[in-house]
Amino acid sequence: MQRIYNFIDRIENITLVWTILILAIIGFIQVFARYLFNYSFTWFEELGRYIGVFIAFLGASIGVKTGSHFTMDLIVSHLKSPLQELVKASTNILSAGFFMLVTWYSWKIIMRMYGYETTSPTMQIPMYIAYMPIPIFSMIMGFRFIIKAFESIQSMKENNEKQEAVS
Amino acid sequence: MMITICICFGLLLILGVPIAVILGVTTTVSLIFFSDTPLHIITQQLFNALDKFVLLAIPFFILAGSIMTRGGIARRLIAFVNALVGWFPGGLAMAGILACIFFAAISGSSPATVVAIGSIMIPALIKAGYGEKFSLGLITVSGSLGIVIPPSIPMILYCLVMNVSVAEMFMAGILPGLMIGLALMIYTYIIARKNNWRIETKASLSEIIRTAKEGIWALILPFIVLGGIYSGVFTPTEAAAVSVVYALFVEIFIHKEFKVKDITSVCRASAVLSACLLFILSTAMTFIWLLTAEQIPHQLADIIMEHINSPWMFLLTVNILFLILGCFMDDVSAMLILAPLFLETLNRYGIDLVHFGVVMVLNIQMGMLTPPFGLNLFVASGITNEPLTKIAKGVLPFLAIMLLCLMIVTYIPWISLVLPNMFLH
Repeated sequence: MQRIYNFIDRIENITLVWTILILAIIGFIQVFARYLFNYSFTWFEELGRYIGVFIAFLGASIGVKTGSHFTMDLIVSHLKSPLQELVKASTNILSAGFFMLVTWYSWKIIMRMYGYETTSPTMQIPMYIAYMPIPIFSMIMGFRFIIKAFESIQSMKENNEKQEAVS
Repeated sequence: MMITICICFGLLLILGVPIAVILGVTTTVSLIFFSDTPLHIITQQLFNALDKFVLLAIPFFILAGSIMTRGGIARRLIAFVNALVGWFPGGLAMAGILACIFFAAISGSSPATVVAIGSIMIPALIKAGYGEKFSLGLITVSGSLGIVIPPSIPMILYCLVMNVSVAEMFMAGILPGLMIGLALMIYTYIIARKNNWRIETKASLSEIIRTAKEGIWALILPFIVLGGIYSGVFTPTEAAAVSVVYALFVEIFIHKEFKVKDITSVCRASAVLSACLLFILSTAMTFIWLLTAEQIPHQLADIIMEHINSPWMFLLTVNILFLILGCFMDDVSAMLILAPLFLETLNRYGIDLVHFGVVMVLNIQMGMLTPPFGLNLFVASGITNEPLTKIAKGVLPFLAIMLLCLMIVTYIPWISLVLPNMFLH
């Protein structure tokens, strides 16, 4: 099980870092091509914008796992044991709920776009592909928040058992 | 509606919900209770907020910063500036400030500057007898220039939410940044004279040339990035792309600091961080979209104009507000939410948006140096293994200087606006 987790971790990190880097390299080549050969990639800007959406949502879903999202946890981390885990569990459930909601409505938008066959202005790719990272990674974020909620409850139980053992 | 939003926001903030999620949930709740707009507008707004080319400059600059931090650019820079100014009273400290200014001009983040310069310079300063508190404070504060001197990530974020030109904003940061650098140098000079800190032997001309040659790859980067933007060779986003590729190329093939296979591990944390920044930006813009649709910035402007009668008073209030807010959330998130809320007020007072941007960035800089969210303090504590309180105490005397500079920049718009007006209008 741990090996599967590590594998997913690696794939996610490599995809995120190299998507950014490859985009930067294309940008670099584009600047040179424009000045040396007077040739510019008209598709680069549009591609960059859509990849930006992908980067933000992929990275945000990794960020849920690594706890990289900006949070004000000064008060919560000072709460006493059962209360702290209870608050954490409920806020994680709330976050999960929000992302599930986003997933649902994004899915509806995507189905509509798929139906109308809307395409992007320059590259003529179907627009639902550009929107795709939003429902996919929102769903993953939702699941990750649920897992976090379970972890809080788990550690609450463990703390309880420890206290019972002590007393 | 305003009250509901405030309560919802404050409650979730205290409960420790991630700020990006708070913004999303508050938007959703207000849409459900106060508006007939269907909820799928949220997806649309999240997408529209991210569907901008300028925004890619953020991950690019952050990655470039982490590559240069891991690599040898900082070390070579320090060797050069030390040969250049090391013979001054307090020379090594002067070199530290100058190195921070230089590194700030190639990286857009201030924690990256603290790590890059601080991990070499703080131990060197302490070893040379500059006093622990002074050394820790000086570099932690000088490193915060990373976001004032262009390129700067908070400036790009500001430009995105306020619709200001990034090139103009970058140029406005140059003079205030140099002014703060100069103020720090004067302070260092006075302290150095008072304590009679030893003066190192003057470096020979050949030494200067030798270190300049070794540092040449680092020294020309600011000219490529900023020169490229202002001569119109490339856009800020392309400049960011160029600096990533340049930094990778120099560190891997010229300085040979790490290998191609290390790239993922070098960039991983900063890539995730940059994505989280983009994500909070998109939820903040969705939130702002809702507030604007409900005319809240107008209502807010009415209330403010009623109670505060001059633009100067308003700017002072904003500065105080940010100092207080800095105790509850990080200042970058606070800026993303509040700056667009004040847009209407700023227009009515006739305050220049670029000038206001510089004031915002200086506020963020102050926030990075004060607990509980002072990112620079955490970073400095991480690289030196010193407790946070010790660093905060070291920073304290410098905060007075920063506060003075903040006031000067707030009340003399000329400092921020003279360069953009001269070159870009």
